[in-house]
Amino acid sequence: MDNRKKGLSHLHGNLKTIIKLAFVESVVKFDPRKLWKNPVMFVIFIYTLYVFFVTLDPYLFRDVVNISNFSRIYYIEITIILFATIWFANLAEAIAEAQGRAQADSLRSMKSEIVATLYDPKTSTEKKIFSKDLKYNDVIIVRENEPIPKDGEIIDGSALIDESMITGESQAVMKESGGDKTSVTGATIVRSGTIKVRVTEKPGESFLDRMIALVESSKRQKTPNEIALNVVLAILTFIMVFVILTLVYIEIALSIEIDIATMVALLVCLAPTTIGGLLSAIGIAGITRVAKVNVIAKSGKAVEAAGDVDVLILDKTGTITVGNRIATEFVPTKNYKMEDLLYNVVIASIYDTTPEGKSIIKIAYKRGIKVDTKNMGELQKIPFSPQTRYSGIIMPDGTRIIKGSVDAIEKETGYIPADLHMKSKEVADQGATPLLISRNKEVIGLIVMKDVIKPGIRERLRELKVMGIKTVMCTGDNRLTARFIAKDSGVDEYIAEAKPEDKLTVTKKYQAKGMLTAMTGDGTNDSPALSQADVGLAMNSGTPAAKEAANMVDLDSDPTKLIEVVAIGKQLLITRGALTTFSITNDVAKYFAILPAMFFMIANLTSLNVMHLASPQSAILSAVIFNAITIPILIPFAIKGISYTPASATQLLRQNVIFFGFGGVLTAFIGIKIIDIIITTGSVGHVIAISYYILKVMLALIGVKI
Amino acid sequence: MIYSQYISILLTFLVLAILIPIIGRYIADVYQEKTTILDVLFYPVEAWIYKLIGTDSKKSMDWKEYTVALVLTNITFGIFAFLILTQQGGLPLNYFNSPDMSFRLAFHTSASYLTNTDFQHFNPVTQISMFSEMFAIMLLMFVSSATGLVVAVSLIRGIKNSNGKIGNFYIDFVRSITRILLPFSILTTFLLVFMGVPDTLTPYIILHPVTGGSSIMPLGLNAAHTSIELLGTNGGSYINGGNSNPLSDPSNATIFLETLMMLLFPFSLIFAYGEMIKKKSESFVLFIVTFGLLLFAVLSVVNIEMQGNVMLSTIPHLSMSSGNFVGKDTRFGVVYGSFAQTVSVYTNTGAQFVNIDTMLPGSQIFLLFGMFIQAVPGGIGTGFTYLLLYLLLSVFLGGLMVGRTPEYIGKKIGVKEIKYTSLALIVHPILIITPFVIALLFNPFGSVTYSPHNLTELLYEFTSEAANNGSSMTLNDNNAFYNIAGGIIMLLSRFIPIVATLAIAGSLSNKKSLPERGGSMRTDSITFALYLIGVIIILGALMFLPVIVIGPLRDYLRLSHYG
Amino acid sequence: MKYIKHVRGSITLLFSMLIIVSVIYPFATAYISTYVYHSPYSNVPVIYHNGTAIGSPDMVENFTQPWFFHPRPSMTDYFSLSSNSSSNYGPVSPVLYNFTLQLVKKYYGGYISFNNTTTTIPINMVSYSSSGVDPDITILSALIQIPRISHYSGIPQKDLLSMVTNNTVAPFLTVVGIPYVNIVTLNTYIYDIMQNAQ
Repeated sequence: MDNRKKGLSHLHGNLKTIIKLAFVESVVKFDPRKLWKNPVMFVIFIYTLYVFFVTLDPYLFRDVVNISNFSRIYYIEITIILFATIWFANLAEAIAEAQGRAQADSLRSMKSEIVATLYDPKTSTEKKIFSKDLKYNDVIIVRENEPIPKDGEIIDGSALIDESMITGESQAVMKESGGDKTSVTGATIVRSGTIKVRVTEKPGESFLDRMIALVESSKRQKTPNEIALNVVLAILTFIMVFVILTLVYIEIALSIEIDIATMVALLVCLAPTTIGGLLSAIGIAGITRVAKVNVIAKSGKAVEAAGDVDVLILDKTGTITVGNRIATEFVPTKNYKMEDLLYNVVIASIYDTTPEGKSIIKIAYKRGIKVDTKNMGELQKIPFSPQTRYSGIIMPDGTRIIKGSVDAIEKETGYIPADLHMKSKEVADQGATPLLISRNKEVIGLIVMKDVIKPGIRERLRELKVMGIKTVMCTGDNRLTARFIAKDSGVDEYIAEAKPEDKLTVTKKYQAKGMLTAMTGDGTNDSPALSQADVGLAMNSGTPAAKEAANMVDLDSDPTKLIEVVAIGKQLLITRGALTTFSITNDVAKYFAILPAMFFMIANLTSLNVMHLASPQSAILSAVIFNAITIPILIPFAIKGISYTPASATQLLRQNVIFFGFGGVLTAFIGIKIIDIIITTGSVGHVIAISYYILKVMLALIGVKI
Repeated sequence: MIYSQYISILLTFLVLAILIPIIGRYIADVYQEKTTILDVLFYPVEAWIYKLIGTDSKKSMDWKEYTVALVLTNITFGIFAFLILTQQGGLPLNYFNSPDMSFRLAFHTSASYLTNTDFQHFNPVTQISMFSEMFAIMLLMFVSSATGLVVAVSLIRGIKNSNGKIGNFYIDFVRSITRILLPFSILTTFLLVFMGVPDTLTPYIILHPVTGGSSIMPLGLNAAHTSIELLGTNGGSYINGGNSNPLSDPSNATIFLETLMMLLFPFSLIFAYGEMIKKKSESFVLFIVTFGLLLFAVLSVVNIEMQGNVMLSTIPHLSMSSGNFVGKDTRFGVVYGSFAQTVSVYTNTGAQFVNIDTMLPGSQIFLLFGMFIQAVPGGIGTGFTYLLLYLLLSVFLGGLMVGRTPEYIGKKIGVKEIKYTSLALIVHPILIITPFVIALLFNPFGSVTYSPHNLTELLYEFTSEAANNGSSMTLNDNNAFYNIAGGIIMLLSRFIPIVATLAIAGSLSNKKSLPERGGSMRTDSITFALYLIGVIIILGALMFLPVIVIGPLRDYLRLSHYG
Repeated sequence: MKYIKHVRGSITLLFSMLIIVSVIYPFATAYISTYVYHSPYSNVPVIYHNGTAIGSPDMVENFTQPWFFHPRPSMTDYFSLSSNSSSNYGPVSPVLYNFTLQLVKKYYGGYISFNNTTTTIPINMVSYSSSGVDPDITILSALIQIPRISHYSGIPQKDLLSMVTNNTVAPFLTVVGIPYVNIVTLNTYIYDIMQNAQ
């Protein structure tokens, strides 16, 4: 969490710029060619222009305007509000776009133009070149304290790389050719070492470029869900145009005075303008929210698919447990004291640079032991090998201190003391790992190595369970350990002694059952599974192959992100559904405002005026104003997403129907009534003051102070 | 007294509740070609028909082929009936010397019976010969009911199957008639005859009443006609005055039976659905939705009618204690008569038990609303189809609201389904409102001013035709405009949704069926049922409120002024 | 034209259905109905008088003579063959109001002149039915007519009263519908009594 804030802190200063940009862009979006993409708003735009022309010269439209009663003020008011409605919708989209672009820019800003050293392998010559001129598959040399110009893969050498500008993590990471740590990101800096890097980024096709395309409405590919919703909205709009059109003729037939502004007002109120205006903003904001957690999605579909996921395949290490096991307990045998054990433990682990080894030393020191290794003379390292399954030290005097698994030590010493034998069984039963220390074929004691479940992960897994998402843990550990951790953390299923291929098998198994799967991965081994899974989140630290196969890349290389991405995907769909419901149920109240006003001259429909609105004109104005201002009021919801508490689908449905369905009806009744009171009793000053406060609250909600 | 009458409604629903799970299971068995008791009787007959048709009885069709077969069959039957009606003057069994029908009236009539509307722009006694009755009217009543059933069944198969096939049209069609419609019609014919409804080849009897002169009492195939009329939710009675005529519905026992007959198949089909997809809980939700809305409408209408006409209650010495008896026959009573009429309109039967014209405006609004929705429970097959269309739309919005790509019974609801669903649903308001406005502009009432009641009548006419309902408020409608416009409305509003539904069935049948997973939105919960009710009401209200306002609502408000 | 075979299919379907639903169904049910009830009219109740069919409880006549029970008003002139069976009056129509008002006055006048004990005219008696040939009236509608009938027919009021009670049709299963009397039946009794008295 902290990393993220650090990485993107400069964004906050940009919010004002975002708003400024959005205001400009929202005006540009009045271009009919751009509006055309949004059927609801396009229809509204056409009718708004119509009313505008009527306002200019009512005499040209005698059929639909009652000239003798023509009130130009009323027409001007309606025209302004209608234009405002469309402008608000444009604004919503523009804000979402600007925010997304700012997000992308902030990620890209690190990649400013730099001079790179192009290396020609044939002639072994070097040449200075601007990074923008680098092509796919070019090989470059990056030396100490030089920035890496583009995304690529290390083909030779190793280096410590500072990635803090992207991840916020201050500690430099080791990368080297071969293996799974070959991938480097543009704009990160080599702190030590020299590497040859093959550029894997095609100009304009980097992940960032792809993400930027997703937040620009003109280039954005709509997801199937969004297209389907658009169909529903277009049809609703069509029906409303049809209903209103026929109403005009009904009025003609019944010789009711027609007032085209009122008709258009009714149309605008009944068409799903609220959701129509916010729809693309919601989609864009979804991508941006993913980017805010430092994940780059390659398509909008991937984000939505994350919301649909049924099975999460999680790596134990890094996702459920904190990186590696740590020592939690030291048990000497009967003949030894604790100090002896700790002393030998430290010495045995001196050359063990694995996180586990480091943790052992750290904890041993914490227990109060002091070892002066400098004066020990030449220590000979016994490296860990998969065959021996132990590591250790040979001291100058030939003393052999090793640390290893129970089997390995038994092989070394030929025996295990009875008390430690018991203890090691007990430890293993609890899912922890016993390590034994021996000194010259004599067992000294036992270290308990335990996995530590990440803080907060239990709650997250419980939430997933409530939402009906199944979790599967993959681990290389043995069955016992795996079961213990699975039970402890609340994972539904586990796969012990998993090989990298197993992830693919599991994914396929669940997909065959018709379930959507999500998984994380970093190694080249993972790439088939990443591309097979419906949502594949690759770690930025992983190989280019893995990153290419996945449909999302996590810049922080934190596998826990997968859960966050799922939540964002869900939130995206919920926001769409909830605002659609709100938009449609609003209409009920608007009907009650406008219909009595429209037919007030033909019959005693006044009793329909349940809201007791002051006059027909004020009723219509209130409804249209309410319709218009719901768009900006809801922009923060569209951008930030509707917050939801994890619950079963039925509970979510109930909550959202009550809140947005009934809420929609109620809000509209209250809102229209309040607006009616304001415009009939308030002065122009009041109206301006209130608009100002609304604007202020709205901006405050997305983080701008004015 | 009044409350005991309300118990009659409860009693009807109770008997219905016992019957529908049983009949539902039977219907499911029929379409899944399981062994049923009628196999012995009908296997040879069916085998003979399939042989003549030349269709491989095992071959399941994709939606396009199914649609072609269905449409061609309907066209063939429609043209045949049209020819019979236009030639009936010269055909046998013409006891009342009924003349040949004019082309426009024959068009309207054959369209009307072919589409399960059964709207009558003619006098059923004097303008239809007994030959036409058998070879045009009865034929089309069976055909339209069977067509409704097969469309619903193919949609169910679309939901169930994953192989792109939705069944064999000929088998479905033939079995709909031989296994469902015909046996039940025969059964109810005898029940009705037992209760005193005529069923004979004798066309009429001449009476010499004590008041002098003589009069003709029409007999004929009344019971056989009434059976398929009500079981197939056709409407369009054998005799004038609809089913309120004592010859079609002689007692308070027959109206009880006839009300059950209308409700039987629309509700049974809901249960057959659960049997076929092997998820009975889905049936319960659909049942709760339809039954809940129907019960609400029934109780509202009955209540409004029992309160009586406020305008008339200002007349001195007039007792309104028995409710609004205007336009209702004595033996049914106001409660049961209004109940039966509501059922008739809501099942899209449209048979007349009481006169809708003289019902109170509040009741008229409820009846119109039933036809706007068409799914509570709606006509045989079609009602269920519409219900599923509303459900698909609700699942779509609801699915989004719970944060998942919407799916129903393991089938993802995509752009294609939504397109066709919307198409099927918007045809309805367009076909009601367009002719309504055209009629208004051309002023069919001549110099008559547009009283709210006239507008209601006009609206009711087109709504009834577009809903393939067939009930009517007495509008003088046998003229070229109403015949031709009506015929076109009925055909379009029947076959556009049918083709759209089959397309949905086709699209769903091509999708793999996903298992029920933890996160999927359950469509068999009470929450979902209530939500579905909300969607149905709001969609209906949004589209139709303006026309309700100018017609019956104004009448309603006018009437409440007397109070 | 891969779908051309369906032309054959639909025509075959037409002819097989004609046989089943247009021939077998109506003929068989009509034959059995007439056979079981030994009557060419199947099970329709017909009232005979000296061998002539004089009426049916299923069809009302316009009993205008003052010694008969009067039926409810009819839009179709009590004639089953005419098409327009119901009123065209909307529920808020002034025509309906005036029509009802006139009828109430007529019956209420009758109440005054025959010392009736009821004080109001039931809506049942002064409203059109749905069928236009409604042969039934409610008990109250029958009772208000008794003094008049008694006066013109000479039948004592209590005999008429017991005639009404004896012929009251109870609601089906005691709840469906309301109690009513069939006036064709009642008037046939009156006709018989008056014939015998002559």
